[in-house]
Amino acid sequence: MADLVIVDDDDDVAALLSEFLSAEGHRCRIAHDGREGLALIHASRPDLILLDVEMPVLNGPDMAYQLLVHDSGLEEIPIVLLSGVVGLPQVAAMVGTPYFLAKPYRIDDALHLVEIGLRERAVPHPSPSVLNP
Amino acid sequence: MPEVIPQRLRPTRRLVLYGPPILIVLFIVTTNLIDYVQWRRVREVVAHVNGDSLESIRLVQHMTANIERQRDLVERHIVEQDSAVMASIERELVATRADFDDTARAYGPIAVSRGEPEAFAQLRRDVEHASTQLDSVLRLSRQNLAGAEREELITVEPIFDAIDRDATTLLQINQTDAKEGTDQLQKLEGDAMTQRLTLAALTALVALASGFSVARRIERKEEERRQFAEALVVRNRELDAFAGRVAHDLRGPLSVVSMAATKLEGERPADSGIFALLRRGVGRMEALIADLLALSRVDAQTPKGVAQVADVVDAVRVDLAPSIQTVKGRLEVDVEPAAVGCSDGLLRQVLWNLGENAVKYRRVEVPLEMAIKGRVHGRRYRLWVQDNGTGMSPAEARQVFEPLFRAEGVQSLPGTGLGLSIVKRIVEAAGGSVGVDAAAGRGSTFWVELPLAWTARKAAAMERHAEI
Repeated sequence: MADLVIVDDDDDVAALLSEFLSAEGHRCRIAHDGREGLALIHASRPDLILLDVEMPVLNGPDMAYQLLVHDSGLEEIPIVLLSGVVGLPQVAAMVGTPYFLAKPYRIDDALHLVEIGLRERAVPHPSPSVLNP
Repeated sequence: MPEVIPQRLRPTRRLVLYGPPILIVLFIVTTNLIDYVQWRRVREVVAHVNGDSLESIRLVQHMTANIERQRDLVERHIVEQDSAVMASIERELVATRADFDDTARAYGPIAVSRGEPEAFAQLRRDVEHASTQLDSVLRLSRQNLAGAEREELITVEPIFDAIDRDATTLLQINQTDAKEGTDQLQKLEGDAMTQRLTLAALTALVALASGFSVARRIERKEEERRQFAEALVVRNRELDAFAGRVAHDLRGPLSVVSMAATKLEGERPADSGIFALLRRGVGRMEALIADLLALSRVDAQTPKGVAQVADVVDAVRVDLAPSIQTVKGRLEVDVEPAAVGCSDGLLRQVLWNLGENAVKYRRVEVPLEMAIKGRVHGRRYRLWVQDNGTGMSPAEARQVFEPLFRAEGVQSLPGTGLGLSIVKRIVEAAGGSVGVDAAAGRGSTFWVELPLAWTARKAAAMERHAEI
């Protein structure tokens, strides 16, 4: 069982993801933007973050960069990017994570990717975002 | 963003633009006209001075000399004793008088200046009078009446004086005429010079003003064009961002549908057929979003670039191999190596779309036979993608590149109806053209014509040059 944080501004997506992942035995917490996500992560360190890209207040890549800037060890948490944004591979390269899946995805693929992330625990290497200049 | 609309040239602007050359032509024509008019007037004045005044002076002097000659002859006659010589002098006198009459006849028509006809008539009268008197002297001289003839000759002297005065008057009239002609010539010359200088100054002023106006207009046009190009870039970027936003926002709910369907499927395994339909619907919608995104982004991306046709076709052959193998089809490739003016990725998408269509719209009763061929055609490169599939009617062939068009009989097959629109947009954005030769039930041959790479580079260089 792993502690997961789902950061997605789409309530339905977040709720369904949470439901599927909970069924797999994981503990899920939900945030609706990057700032809420940071609060949840700082409150309790998760094992993995499922992160959307485009969100209000603070977008996904910027949230990842904030974790790096804070330099509190939280930047080592693996990140799975799940988004319908155009050019997701480029965004993933910017965040520095090998785990990404374009919406709409099959839930099995998403669950599989989460398992890989939890197993490998590849550390992201985010760079400053250019999504919100 | 300021609204920038290219304007058509208004008539007043046209006048400003074409004004200077028209003015120069007008200046040349007007100057020549003035020269011609001046030349006519000068010619008249010169003709008057030469043909009238100077000729008149010459004739008057000739007549004066003639009278003097008559007088001399009469004096020689008086002192002569030999009758033969006297007769000879008389003949000479007759000839001299005849010469006078001829000269007077020549002078008559040109004696037209103010006071000249009257003075000439007076001269004629005085000469007539003198001739009568001289005849009297001759008669006396023939009789050798020395004293009488001398006295008679003395009575002629006042008449000769009068003739001298008449001649002097005529000479003065003609000299005055000649001087007036010369003054008129100088005045004409001065007037012509003034007119030319005035005209030249006016033309230069108007041409200068028009030149400034043209320069300002060109600068304004350049600025408008620059703003228009910038606005276009911004709008393309906005369109691109909008398309991305739409795709993102559609994919979110689609994920929800997909996940919800999966969840329900797990709970209700008996309805797996319905969930398969739901998944297929999600798949079609996903493909539609991807195609719409591709279609809207063709213009925003730059299709300029260089692609090696043989390399791209090789890559497409690898891409298509699994689906061709699945239908047990065959792909023949025969392309002449060349570089074309289109980005590598977009050309790959063009050929992939055409190849995928060939697989999708194959005839089930015959094995798929597909060929990709390419040849250099002058400055362009032509690619053919041939198949032995379902083909299409001429009416369908005319519409096949329109967005969302799907031919009759293939609507049950998966597809968005955007693939060929994307092909057309990419090819046309790269400066090429696309078409299809097809017959229902006998397969299709799609052709794509693209500029060779050096031609595209040259066009880009020319475009840059034009911008500068």
